[in-house]
Amino acid sequence: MNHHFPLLRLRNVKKYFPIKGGVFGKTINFVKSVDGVSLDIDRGRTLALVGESGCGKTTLGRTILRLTNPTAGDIYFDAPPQAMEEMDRLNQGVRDGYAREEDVKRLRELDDRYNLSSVTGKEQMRLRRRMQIVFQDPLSSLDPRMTIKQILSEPFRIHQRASREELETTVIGLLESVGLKQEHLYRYPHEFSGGQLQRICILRAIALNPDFLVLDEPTSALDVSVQAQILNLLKDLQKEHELTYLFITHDLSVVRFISTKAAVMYLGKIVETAPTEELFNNALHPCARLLLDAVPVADPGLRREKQLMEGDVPTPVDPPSGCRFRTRCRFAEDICSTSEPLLEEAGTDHLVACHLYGRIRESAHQTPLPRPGL
Amino acid sequence: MTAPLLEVKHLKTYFYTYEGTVRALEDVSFHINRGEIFGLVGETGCGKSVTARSAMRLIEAPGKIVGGEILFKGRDLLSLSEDELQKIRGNQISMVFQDPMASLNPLMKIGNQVAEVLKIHKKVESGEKLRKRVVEILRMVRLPSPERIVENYPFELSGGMRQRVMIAMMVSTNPELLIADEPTTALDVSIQAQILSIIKSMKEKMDVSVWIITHDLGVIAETCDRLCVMYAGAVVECGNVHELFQNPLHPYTQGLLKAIPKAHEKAERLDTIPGSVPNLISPPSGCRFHPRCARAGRECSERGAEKVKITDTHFVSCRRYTEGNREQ
Repeated sequence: MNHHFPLLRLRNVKKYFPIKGGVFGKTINFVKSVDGVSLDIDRGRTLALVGESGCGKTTLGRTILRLTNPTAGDIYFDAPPQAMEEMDRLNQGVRDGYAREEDVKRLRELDDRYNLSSVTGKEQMRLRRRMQIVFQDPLSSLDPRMTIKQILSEPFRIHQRASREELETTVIGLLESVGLKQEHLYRYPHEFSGGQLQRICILRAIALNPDFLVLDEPTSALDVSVQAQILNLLKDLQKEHELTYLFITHDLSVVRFISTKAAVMYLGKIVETAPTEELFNNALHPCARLLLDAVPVADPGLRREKQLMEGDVPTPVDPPSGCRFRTRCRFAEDICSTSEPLLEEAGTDHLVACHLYGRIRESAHQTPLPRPGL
Repeated sequence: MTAPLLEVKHLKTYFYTYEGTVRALEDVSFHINRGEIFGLVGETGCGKSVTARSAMRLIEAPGKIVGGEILFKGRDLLSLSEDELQKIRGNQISMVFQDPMASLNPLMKIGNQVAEVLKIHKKVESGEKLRKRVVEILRMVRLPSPERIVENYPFELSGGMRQRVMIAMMVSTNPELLIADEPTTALDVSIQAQILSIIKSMKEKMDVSVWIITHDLGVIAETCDRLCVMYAGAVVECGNVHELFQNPLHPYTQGLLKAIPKAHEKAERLDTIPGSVPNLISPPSGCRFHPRCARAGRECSERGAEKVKITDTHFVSCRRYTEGNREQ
């Protein structure tokens, strides 16, 4: 099969959480966690989603898997370009009001097949098998009363993928593939170390041979030596099973190791996407540059004066007008508060949402991160 | 050479649990000089926090400091009475913990909490003067509009702001030593950078020595002058940052440094340390790192390593560097 199109395409995805208030519990406002995100995730690659806490990266990950339903927007999964084109055309028709009845029917059919934001029932079950998630804290994502065998059998049971006889050998095979042993089968989660537990969570996620994994800060709770083991494991698994990852993290040093492409998020919006190396060498959005600058480098020889990001993330209930980053941006000008910057092409595969990126690029005589030998 | 500000000698802290005695600290020795930022680094469960708590005598049952000395300006803190110790704690040695929400009283306004410290330790009377002093202290840690923040409760502040309030409280008594136990672990990188820069400027302005405890070698590399690496309840290597990062000698330090993904370089694979941290109820015999050490010999499992001096400031506890083994 030919797989040259992206596995996942997000189009203007939004997730608002209502704030209830008053005597009658009326919705008085919204927390705009994810506010119009469009992204492509390439097959067999890793897209790193970076941002400060509260910027909506976890919500976006959960929305893609429909663990929470999107407020608006489309999430296309494994949709071939022909289908995408057809859907675009039909959608256009519906918007402009000249769509015939069979067009609407055809659109619904295509949506049911490819659009994660509208699939339900059996079709959703079928797609869910192809996508999984690994959370930050492995201990709280495993049922403390289930043995490892039960935990790892559950996906097969739910999706009816293996007979009782096959199950045991399959589960043992899984365990051994990540360096755990048969004797661990009848133990409970509390008997394992953090690193082992995270391996079990990863196994559970890949048990049914999914295509797509959301990794939500999978190593943030682990020590560096264990983190290194898990990151290597994830890379190996990706190669072996041709997995596509969405790697959510706030740790930029991990981003450089794990990902091929990176997207920087701020207050519900993507502010910059670029191939990882390009982002590290030539970040343009002030937010991305400050984040890169803030990463502590484990080499005292590379100490430097840092540009500090001032203040805290504003509330997503009432984000600043225009560019959302302007309240913390030292380049900000009048235009930043009046008009909202859209993602623009700033290089090959490099998108940035900033009015002033051209000037920032010129003034940037140094890369945000020092390199050895510089 | 002037005497160190704090000297920890052969410290042993055990926890007596139902499962057995956890030998959390086994012969930990190091010192902190005046006017330096000292880092204690190690992975979860290696005994960093227990060391800091032992130094403040904050170990509670079932834990007990079994042996050793903690000399603060030459006086052994372990032999002081509770009253005498209370004069040092908070006044001359202050401590900032990882989770500021858990260290602040949720029912008290920020202003009153900071004022309380000044009232107790500096005997400042309530009134306009105290209020002004509180605002001044909060401004020092770069909190925006401190006049308003004194009226806030902790839940109204962000994590980074709370940590700044904690630091403000802790330095308000002009301590000589500030202990910061994982001060930035719960924070974002951008906020972490702010907090570390505040700690550094406090050191300059207030002439306080700082002891940072962290698992993050990046934080150490960027802020500390000198550091010790701990593994399973023992100090394995000490030195100034430049020596230690450029020329790590202990196999554990080497492994740890190689395991960090580097933001300034692209790597294909990360080196790992095989195995995991041992259980301290029955720690490995001899050198506690030997089961995970690629270079361990038979003698490593039989006898513990002695501290070997490499330079005046660089010490390593590994048998490979003792006399006669040097060549390897």
